[in-house]
Amino acid sequence: MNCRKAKTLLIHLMGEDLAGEAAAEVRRHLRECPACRREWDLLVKSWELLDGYETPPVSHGFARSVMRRLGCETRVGVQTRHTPRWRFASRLLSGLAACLAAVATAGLLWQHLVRHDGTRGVPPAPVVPDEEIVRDLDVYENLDLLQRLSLLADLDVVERLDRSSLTGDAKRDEE
Amino acid sequence: MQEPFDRDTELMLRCQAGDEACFEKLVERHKQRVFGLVFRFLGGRADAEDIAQEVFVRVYHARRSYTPRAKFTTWLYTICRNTCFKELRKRKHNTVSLSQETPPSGEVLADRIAQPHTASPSAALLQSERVHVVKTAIDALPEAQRMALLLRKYDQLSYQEIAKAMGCSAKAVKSLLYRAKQNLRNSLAPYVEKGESSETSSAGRDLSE
Repeated sequence: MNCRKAKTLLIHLMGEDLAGEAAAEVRRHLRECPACRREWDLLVKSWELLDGYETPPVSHGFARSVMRRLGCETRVGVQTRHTPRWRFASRLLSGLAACLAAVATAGLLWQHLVRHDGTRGVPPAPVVPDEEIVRDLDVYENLDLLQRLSLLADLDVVERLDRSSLTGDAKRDEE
Repeated sequence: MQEPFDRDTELMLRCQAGDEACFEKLVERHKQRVFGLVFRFLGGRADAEDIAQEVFVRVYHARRSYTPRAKFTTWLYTICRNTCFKELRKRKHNTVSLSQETPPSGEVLADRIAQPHTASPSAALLQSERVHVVKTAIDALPEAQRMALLLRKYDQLSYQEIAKAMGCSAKAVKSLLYRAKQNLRNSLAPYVEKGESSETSSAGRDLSE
């Protein structure tokens, strides 16, 4: 057995986890190898050093104190037996309030979106009286005529002028 | 024929039935071992007794969940371990940086342990120094290694019992103990070597005289 393998097995040997041939082999190696024996001594002494760590004795009134604590806790438990129900109710109420607030916020947001998005919100059609529709239709149909109204007026003036000049010439001839 | 219960189980069953005097007897029987584990695990804190009391309060509150299939001490150690871990977590959260001591590295710990305090004339002082060195080395171990080591070394629990108390496999316990022993050896080696060298030098002095 080499030192590397022996050193890994030393802790197992100390913990009495190594038995049989393996343990005998490590022990044989320890007898032959001073370095591993030194490592073994270190391990054993470190482990034995822990024995000196003693705890102080527990106080005489320890058990009484535990029972007193239990008594206090039991009394507190009786007094506050309904606390979980109140807690449940308050949680339920706060949950409902949160849901309502969420619904209201969503509604407001929806309205806001509808106002700004033309495809979703079509404004209601204004109510127009029938007379106005007929008048507008009339105007539309005679638009062409109306656009040429000034021209027609000019033509009318010219026609009148011609007629009057013609009638004037005829009177002069008779005279 | 049904096997009779051991004394602890019997007391616990009677406690389940509402006999509080039996619970007090249980506390009396196990107070020192619970206190010892808490004290060593939490690094010798002054409030270790309060926390040990807390363990028993929890045992009382959990009495209905106890079944006689498990050994009472294993169940007790499970509760003790949970309380200790919880306390340690609480301590980590609550401690502000001013009072928090950073865990020492291996070298720092070795230097601290190797401080030349061995010149103390009194045996009591020497013992107190040893306890301090051991306490420092144990406190430097990770939580799980520390718990496994304390249960094995001071309470002589088997691997199976430790595994049950810690909620892991026996193989995992072996691994934890292996690493704990290795870490302890590294931490305590300077102190052990120093002790050896002082013994050798004093022996040498004696021989020369």
